Amino acid sequence: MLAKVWSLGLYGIEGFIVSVEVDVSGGLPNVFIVGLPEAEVKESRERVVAAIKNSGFDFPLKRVTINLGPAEVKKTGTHFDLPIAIGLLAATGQIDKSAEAKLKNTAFVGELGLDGSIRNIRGLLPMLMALKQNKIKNAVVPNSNGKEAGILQMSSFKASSIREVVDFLENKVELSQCEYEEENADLVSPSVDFLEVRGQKLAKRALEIAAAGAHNVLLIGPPGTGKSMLAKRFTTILDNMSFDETLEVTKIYSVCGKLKENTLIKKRPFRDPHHTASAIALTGGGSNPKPGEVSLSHNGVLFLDELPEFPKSNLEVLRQPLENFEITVSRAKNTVCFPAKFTLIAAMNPCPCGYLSHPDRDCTCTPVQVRRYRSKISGPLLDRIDLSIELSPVKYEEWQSTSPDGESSQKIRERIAVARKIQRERFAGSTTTANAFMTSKEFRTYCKLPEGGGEIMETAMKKFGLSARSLDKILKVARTIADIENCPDIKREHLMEVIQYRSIDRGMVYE
Amino acid sequence: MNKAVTENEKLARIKINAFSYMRSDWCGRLINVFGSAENVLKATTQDISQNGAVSIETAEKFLSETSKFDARAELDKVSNAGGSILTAEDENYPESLKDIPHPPIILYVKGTLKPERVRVAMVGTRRPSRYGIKTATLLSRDLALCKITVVSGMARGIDSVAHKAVIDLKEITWAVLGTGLGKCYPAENKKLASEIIDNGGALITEIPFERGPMAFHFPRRNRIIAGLSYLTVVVEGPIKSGALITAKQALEQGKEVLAVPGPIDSPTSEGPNSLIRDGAGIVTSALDIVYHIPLQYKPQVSTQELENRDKQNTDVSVGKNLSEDEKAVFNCIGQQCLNLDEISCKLDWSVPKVSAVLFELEANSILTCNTGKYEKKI
Repeated sequence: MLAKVWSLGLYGIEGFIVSVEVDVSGGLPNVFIVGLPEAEVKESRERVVAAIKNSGFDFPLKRVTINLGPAEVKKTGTHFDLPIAIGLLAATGQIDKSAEAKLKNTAFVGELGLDGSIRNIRGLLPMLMALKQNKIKNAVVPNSNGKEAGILQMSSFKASSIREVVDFLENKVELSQCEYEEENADLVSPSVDFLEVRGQKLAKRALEIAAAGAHNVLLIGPPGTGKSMLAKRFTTILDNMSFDETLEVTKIYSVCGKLKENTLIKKRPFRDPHHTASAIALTGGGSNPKPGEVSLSHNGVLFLDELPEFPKSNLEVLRQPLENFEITVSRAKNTVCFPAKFTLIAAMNPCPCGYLSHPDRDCTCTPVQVRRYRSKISGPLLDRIDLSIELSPVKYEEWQSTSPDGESSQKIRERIAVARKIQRERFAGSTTTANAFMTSKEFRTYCKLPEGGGEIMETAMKKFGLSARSLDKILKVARTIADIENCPDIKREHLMEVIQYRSIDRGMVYE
Repeated sequence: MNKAVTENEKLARIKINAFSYMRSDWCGRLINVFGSAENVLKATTQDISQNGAVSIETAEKFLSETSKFDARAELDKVSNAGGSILTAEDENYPESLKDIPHPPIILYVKGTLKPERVRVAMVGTRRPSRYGIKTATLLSRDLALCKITVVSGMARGIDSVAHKAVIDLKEITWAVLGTGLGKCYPAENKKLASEIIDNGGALITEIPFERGPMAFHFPRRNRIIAGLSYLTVVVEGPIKSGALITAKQALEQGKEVLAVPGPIDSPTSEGPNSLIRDGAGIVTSALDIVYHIPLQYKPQVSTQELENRDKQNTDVSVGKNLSEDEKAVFNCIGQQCLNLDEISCKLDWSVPKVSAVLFELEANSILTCNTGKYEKKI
């Protein structure tokens, strides 16, 4: 007997339809799974046998062949347990003929426990998205994944055991639909706020600009100046994601099994990998490529603390995502592209000992050591950083002042929302979402030098030693400042301000 | 005395120097005793041991190492690098060096030693304070204006600052190295070294071409710095520092030592302050240095002009052409070194406003910015 049921597979962060064919024929009792199954799919044989028996069905003592098509694509994940079990039951006639219609237009995903219960799986969201453009209209998903499936608002049913699924197919019971639960969760975690940062007006201003235009920032300062503190509060001033953006982020987290609440991620992600993270951890990879830190921070923030401590080769891999906003992971058998459109916030000390620009403590580094330390960050990477500022330690007077002198994250976010709105209107109809992502054509259209701006740029280049490339960056950031101030055109002051935020280009003066 | 030495004599001296450049008093005496460097190398172990007051083993080592050293190859290396090797009989060998006790028997030189102008040594610590950097810059710049050659050691800190200030005016400065000409120490001064030569200055050393920096090189080098100069100015340095060794050697050579006073609680000013207590002349401007230089070397800039320059550097004249906002920022910084945050707090201005004003001030060379801190340009 032959039976065919539908399931879904995952390739990178895209889903695809998989047909599960089960053939039961005479011969020595054995179970074969073909169609490039990975280890976890091969193991499903043992789970399925036990789950079927423990659910009160019979497992045939025959030769069973299971084919997962298309046979040339690798199958990974534990979610093939349920479709295999259902296929087996259908092939051995343990599911009523009346179920045939439902079998034809339903896809099954779920991991089985030995007792026949259906368990949580990862990557459900992208898999279901593949269904959206297909004739198969229904899906049966694990009960615990219900919220995730509900996001797409399609016909998906949640089940908790094989028995329930079989009863549903035979029209004996109704399974409940997965509903979209609109949650008005507080988007900003109340634990941190910009209000708590004392002093550091310059850094706050730079981060506000960065948030408004999605510009990359480098914070340079001695230990204890609040670099990490500022970076952690950066997400609290970012505007909310659009629905499409949340979907993209949720998809990536779903594939990585990092969807804690199994629901839509609305807060922009903040990732801070440690500097011992490998290049693969950053880019994503593995024989079945999974997204890395750059993709997990898609539409959010990638914070690299102690930037020069990262191995140089690991930093260089950031160049492609910073330029193309995606990362291509190529392996012998497949090539996958993950989205990676993030704002980079990097932090570093001014020198190896950390105290080069400290007002009270002496630096013990030689100029060569400092140069070597700074050269760990290559020119091409620095070229992709729009704002770099030097921080200095907070003074006692600032620290002890109980009255917070700054603005709350809420207030800054309102300003940023305005700037973002201007940008959305400007780039309507383009894939560009913020000033930092402008194409060169858009750049030429929207970033015009103001009257007298040429002289400023000339001074910047000749006197301060800025490169032609950084002049473009200056114009882009100046565009953002103009947006914050709701100016239609870039003004001279905007240019002059940005030039003060390019400390890394100005090199170091040793004497 | 000024008869040129033969080729073989020169090669012999290069050989002897390569072995004993750290004891030129010793080999100078040896050459005197034997009449020439050639004879020294022809002598027996016993002769050297007796006349040089060294053990037989040392004498053996001396003879075997000098015979192994390829002086001709050394000459080629130096000339390939654009340098030359001088003996005391050479025309270019600086006269003032011949008068010091134990002058170097040969001198490696890159660049030009002519014309002979009056020279002033400027030395100081490798880890100067902001005050030291500023003073060294101002003094050597004014000395360069007076066509006085500034001699220093191209070390980090005050030495490099002194050289750079002269180079900025495209004037002549001499650097006496603690390494061979084939090495650059500290490595970051490679560019400085070539600029010194490009502007008509010279790199001078008695150390063989490829030797790197060794601790004992530097006191030897300091005696040459003092020896080349008419007087020595100590800008900053702790009590135990190379700068004070140079000062001591200048005194031993019978030369004037001047010192820049500093705050009594500043560790980097301990050295010059103690020199002043012991009777060294005090330097408060380049004029104080110029007054000590004899009339025959009369500086080409009149003292009146120098005085005027001093006045021009005051805040009042700089502040004259500034706008109100610029003046506020300029006065806010004063003699300090502040970052943008501090300025914006002090003036209670927004960051964008301060940034724009700082840009103007920096573009007009009134302020400089270093690692995010702004200070008045020297």
